[in-house]
Amino acid sequence: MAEILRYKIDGTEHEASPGTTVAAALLNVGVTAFRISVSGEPRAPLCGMGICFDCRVTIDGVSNVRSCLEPVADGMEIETGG
Amino acid sequence: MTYDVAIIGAGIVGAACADRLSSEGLSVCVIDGPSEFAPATAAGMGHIVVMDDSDAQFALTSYSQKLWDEFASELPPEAEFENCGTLWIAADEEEMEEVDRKFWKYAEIGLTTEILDERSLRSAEPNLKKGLPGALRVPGDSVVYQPVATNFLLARAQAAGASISRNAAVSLVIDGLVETWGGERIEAQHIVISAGCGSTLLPELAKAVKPRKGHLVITERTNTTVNHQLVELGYLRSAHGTDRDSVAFNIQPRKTGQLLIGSSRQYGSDDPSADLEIVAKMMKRALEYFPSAADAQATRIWTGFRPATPDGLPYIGMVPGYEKVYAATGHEGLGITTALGTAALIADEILGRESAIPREPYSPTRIDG
Amino acid sequence: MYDLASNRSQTAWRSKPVAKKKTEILVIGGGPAGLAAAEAASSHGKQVTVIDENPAFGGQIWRAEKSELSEKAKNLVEALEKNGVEMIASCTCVASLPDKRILALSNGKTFPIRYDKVIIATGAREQFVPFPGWTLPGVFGAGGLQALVKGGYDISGKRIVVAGTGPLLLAVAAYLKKKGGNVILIAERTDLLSLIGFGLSALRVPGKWREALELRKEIRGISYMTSSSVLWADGNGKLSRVTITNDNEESEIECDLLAIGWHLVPNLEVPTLFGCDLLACAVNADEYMRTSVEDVLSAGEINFVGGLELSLIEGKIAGHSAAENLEAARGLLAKRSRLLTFASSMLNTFLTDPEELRKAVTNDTIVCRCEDVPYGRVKDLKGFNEAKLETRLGMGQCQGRVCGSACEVLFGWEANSVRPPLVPLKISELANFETENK
Ligand SMILES: Cc1cc2nc3c(=O)[nH]c(=O)nc-3n(C[C@H](O)[C@H](O)[C@H](O)COP(=O)(O)OP(=O)(O)OC[C@H]3O[C@@H](n4cnc5c(N)ncnc54)[C@H](O)[C@@H]3O)c2cc1C
Ligand SMILES: Cc1cc2nc3c(=O)[nH]c(=O)nc-3n(C[C@H](O)[C@H](O)[C@H](O)COP(=O)(O)OP(=O)(O)OC[C@H]3O[C@@H](n4cnc5c(N)ncnc54)[C@H](O)[C@@H]3O)c2cc1C
Ligand code: FES
Repeated sequence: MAEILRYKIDGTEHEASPGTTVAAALLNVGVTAFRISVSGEPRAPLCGMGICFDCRVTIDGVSNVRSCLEPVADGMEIETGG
Repeated sequence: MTYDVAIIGAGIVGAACADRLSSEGLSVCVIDGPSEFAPATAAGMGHIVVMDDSDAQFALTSYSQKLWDEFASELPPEAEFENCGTLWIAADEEEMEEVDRKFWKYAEIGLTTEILDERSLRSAEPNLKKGLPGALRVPGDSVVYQPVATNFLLARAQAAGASISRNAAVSLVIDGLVETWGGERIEAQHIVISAGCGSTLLPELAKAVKPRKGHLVITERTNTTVNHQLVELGYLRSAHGTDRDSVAFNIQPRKTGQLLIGSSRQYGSDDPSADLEIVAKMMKRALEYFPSAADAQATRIWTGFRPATPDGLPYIGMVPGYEKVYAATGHEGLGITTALGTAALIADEILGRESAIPREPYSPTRIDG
Repeated sequence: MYDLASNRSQTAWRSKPVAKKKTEILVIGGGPAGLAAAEAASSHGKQVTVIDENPAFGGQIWRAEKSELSEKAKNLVEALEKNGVEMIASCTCVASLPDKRILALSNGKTFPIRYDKVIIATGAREQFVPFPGWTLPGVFGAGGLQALVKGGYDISGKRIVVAGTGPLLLAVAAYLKKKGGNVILIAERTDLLSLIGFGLSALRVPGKWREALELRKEIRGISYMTSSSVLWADGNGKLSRVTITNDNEESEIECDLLAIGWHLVPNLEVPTLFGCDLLACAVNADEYMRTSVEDVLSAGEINFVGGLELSLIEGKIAGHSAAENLEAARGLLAKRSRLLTFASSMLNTFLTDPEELRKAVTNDTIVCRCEDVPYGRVKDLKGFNEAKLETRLGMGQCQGRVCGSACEVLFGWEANSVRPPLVPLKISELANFETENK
């Protein structure tokens, strides 16, 4: 297993250590708008445990993934702001 | 006090009757309570559609559609009324003949429709499967978010003086009197039974009105363009069959960008839980016509029960054997469309007037025949 | 495109998401209750499968830290695997099917699992109560922030306010401080007198006083206010300041993160899909953990939010009882009932008057975060159903998990809007169900 995982957020490459959830990784690089709400507000994780769906992002083309339940993987491509 | 009219059931049909009758100056009382089946109005799709399975159905749906068009400007924006039109989609050349037949049929009553060939269908709905031979476009059809429309009708009735009792399920109806399970008695000159699948509280109606289960699936907001309500022509076959489970492709664009996907028809089930095998059949059917929905995510599946009758027409009018007890029920999959027409016919009958269309085909006198 | 599935199987801490399609005892939820249930059931030679939607087992209290399971959970999980218990992480129960099957979702694919008996142990979640600004990025549930930090969120140097009510606040504050967070304030809603009462009753329980002392040590230096709560949160696109009240005095505090904790409420989505009877917002199970539905059992915090010990003992009882060894279960009933009595006696300390909570809310405070429905649009409606139909509240992705319990607190509405699938599923996946099933 790689010591450092390389992944992309909206096209820009970042690094994370194994075991980091996607939500934590995004917070660590300062992402605030995980998604844009129906009325146009930025939203970010609330519950940290799969309940609120406010942390949802698109991962490798799959939308609505709850990033707090998903560990970062090498080569992952994450899109925010959906 | 004795009301002019007591209306049992506050679904869209009861709400439309309450609105109509109170606007005519009658004193109205609406009595609604829970029944074995959840209200159909909350579960339905809100497609206001002209259908021509029979001449009587054609007359009632096209009359009602006109009434909806007049009503539209009064609805609040949350009712999301949208005159998006319907596309009846042909799967093959044989079904194109049906498109032709429908075109002429609609023309007979002066309803303008348009025959789309393969190319014009593609430009009208670029996300439909390639190679479909064509469709009939019915521009006058619309969609509405019917729970809001229903509440609006009830609120307007209330403003015109109607009284509305909730959580008051009716146990007994006799001439001039309605009694609730709570023991409350309401006297009224005229009694309208618009209790959907719960209309079985009259034994005459219990014989004839049966619940017909349906499923709907809604997606998250998508970027997939859908411009019309899309329905397969085969839907007619599905809606006609009476005993076999059937599914048909039916997709409705919501103003939110969500896709509402139908539909299924099942008799003999009173279980409200979603049957994922039927849902799978529905989704397969939908993807055959509309492959671009494949990646859209479904956020919710629900079911509802349509109040169905043996001949596919609703019961509207005085029930034989009673004095001034009227049925306004059995609208199956068209009750949202035909609620306004139904209310007009009931009002005409109560007030002893002629109607815009003949009332006789919907009369409950046919129940025993 | 990167293959999510292959990473999963490379990742040692995540077991392979390939389930047998049939098992004797299926456990949904691998927190303390679920793990204890699996252990007890497998001790009678039963074939047991445990699924959990998290990438690691352990549930809330034993949540893994950056993939490393806590010692206790690790030992338990390893022992279970050695005993042949099938452990499937990252696997969510999304629907209940006829003929004793569930529909499971893993790696974006659904598949049915058939069982003879099922034990539901989906635990509890945090209750959220809306207030102005709670939708700003930077506002978290208290347990939520803790979970995110366990998932690798680096909070070192961040200015954090911990607020709300309940004993969880102290534990969270201590944890955040240990992880380098600059916890500047703990604002507890409850007044000091009630807290003293609570402290005294907690002391009756062996072990609790030591825990309490430890905690006090760990949070030394953090200012702690009682009768204090957050009125609103501000910021431009993210949190930068909260306004709190303390004995009716308002003050503003600059901060980066707000961790706000209320009560815990059971995760009732799965038992609701199974049709289990509920009572007082929890599953109504008998002392052998049997629900109203045949062959469906429930254990842990979905039955009663009563802490770790109670969840463990309930798990064991459920495991024995599902293995049809009521004898083994019987030996544990007395202990469970003691724990239950204690847990019930602590309930009232932290209850907050709904009137108080409503006061903080303004007409444009969002209640439903998925559909952005504000308080003003729903406050005059008659119930959850009407609100749903009129405003689409509760009909978004989270299916009312957040706004449902918020409305219970704010309006006293019963929120019963659970529909399958429990998480969004692709149309193509729904279409596949039939063939998958053959
Ligand atoms: C899946 C599905 C899709 C549909 N799509 C469409 C569509 O696109 N277009 C369309 O036009 N139609 C559609 N329909 C049909 C439409 O929803 C119904 O025909 C219509 O809602 C019936 O309205 P109603 O007022 O008669 O009945 P309901 O809405 O069922 O209302 C009856 C009311 O009476 C109450 N009641 C029952 N018994 C009693 C009693 N004893 N005492 C007091 N009150 C009682 C009930 O609780 C309820 O509130 C669809 C239906 C379904 C299920
Ligand atoms: C945020 C938080 C903090 C807590 N802190 C403490 C504390 O400090 N001290 C204390 O004594 N107690 C604490 N508790 C209470 C703690 O949850 C219980 O003591 C104990 O963990 C409950 O065990 P359980 O097995 O019932 O539930 P949980 O530990 O919650 O486990 C439930 C499991 O079910 C899984 N699950 C849920 N839904 C599904 C589904 N549909 N499909 C598959 N899996 C699913 C979840 O992923 C989870 O792993 C806390 C609870 C929460 C929510
Ligand atoms: S943070 Fe709530 S679901 Fe991920």
